[in-house]
Amino acid sequence: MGAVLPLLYPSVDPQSILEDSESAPIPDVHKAMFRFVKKITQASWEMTAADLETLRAASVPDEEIVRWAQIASLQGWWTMSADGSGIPLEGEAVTGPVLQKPREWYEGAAEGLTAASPEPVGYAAHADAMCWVGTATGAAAFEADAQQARERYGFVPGLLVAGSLRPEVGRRHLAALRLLEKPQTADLTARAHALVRARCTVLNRAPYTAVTTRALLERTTGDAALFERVQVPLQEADAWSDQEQAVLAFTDKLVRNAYKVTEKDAIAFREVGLSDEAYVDVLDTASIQTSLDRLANALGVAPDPEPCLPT
Amino acid sequence: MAYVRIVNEDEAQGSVAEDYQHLSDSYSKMIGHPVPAPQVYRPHSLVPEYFRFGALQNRVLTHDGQHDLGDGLLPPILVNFAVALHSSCYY
Repeated sequence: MGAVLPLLYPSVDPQSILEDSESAPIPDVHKAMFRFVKKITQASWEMTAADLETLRAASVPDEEIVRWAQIASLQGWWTMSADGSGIPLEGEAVTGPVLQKPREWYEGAAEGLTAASPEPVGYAAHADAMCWVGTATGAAAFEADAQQARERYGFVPGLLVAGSLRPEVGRRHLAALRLLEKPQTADLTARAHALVRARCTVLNRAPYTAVTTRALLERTTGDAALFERVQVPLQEADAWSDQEQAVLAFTDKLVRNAYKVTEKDAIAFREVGLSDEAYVDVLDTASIQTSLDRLANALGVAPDPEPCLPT
Repeated sequence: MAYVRIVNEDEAQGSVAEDYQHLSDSYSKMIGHPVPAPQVYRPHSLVPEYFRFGALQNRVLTHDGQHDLGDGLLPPILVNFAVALHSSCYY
């Protein structure tokens, strides 16, 4: 991604943007986007309706706000899964390390280079409004997705409605919800998968998605109290199996500081008898869940009355 | 070398092979000459359902490969860059 800046800002020193986009010589609307995306990426739970008002005051329409939030949440999936899997770079002509540091540097990077999520302390209450952005639910493209959702869940999820100004992304949301209903490999238990989802919503403090992850965990395990245990910091919880401990520790690292994931994390899976397929299953479950958590937080989507699970 | 096994084009079958073809076609159209699917899709190749999800995202963002959705106020790549920057993403 590092090669993007010279292409978009040929007369601006890329380092000025890497160091501080606020003081860099770029348009104000670009700075507003950088601020918005930084908050979504590092602390989406702190997003408020006032953040969106600030964008509107800078002449950013709601459709563009929704677009930025959707792209940012999609890209969050890419960055988490890329750093979590250790794939090689595309090539010098296409991209380069964003911070221009060797990979080894990231493992030892100071905590807080990307703001680490604090330990969960519960969920902030949302306003009564269904979401913080305008909606357009009359379009045919939206209605097609809405009908699919009604058939599967019995209602139209608020996240779908909140994104209706850009209905082309709706089918991505529906696909994500379906993928997250269960593990996609035989190597990851349904319980471990549900724990990963729940832990993500806790770390991301996402009240919208917690309705579903809490229900899935209870439905999967029959344990109504388990969601409360997921909220306890891992080092204080000693009731997990070795496999669950490995899965949850990886989830925490991925959600908080994906750039710190190394091959040791994949080896830790193998040491407790989990396969590479299970690793990918957790990697995708956590990164897709986080993308939904961030999007719901960014758009201020009020929790649905029911979980997004098949009726 | 990725941390987990990658299924590349030479051993891909079924939906993974189809999705590799779609991704290559999509990026080739965007860039203007033939290119393989980017690395960033490959971590998911071990589980076809997730690989398909990556291909679906490409379809969504490119209007099924037509690349005619427009950029809005800002090019999407700049928003992507901002996420990568604030994630301290190596890739």
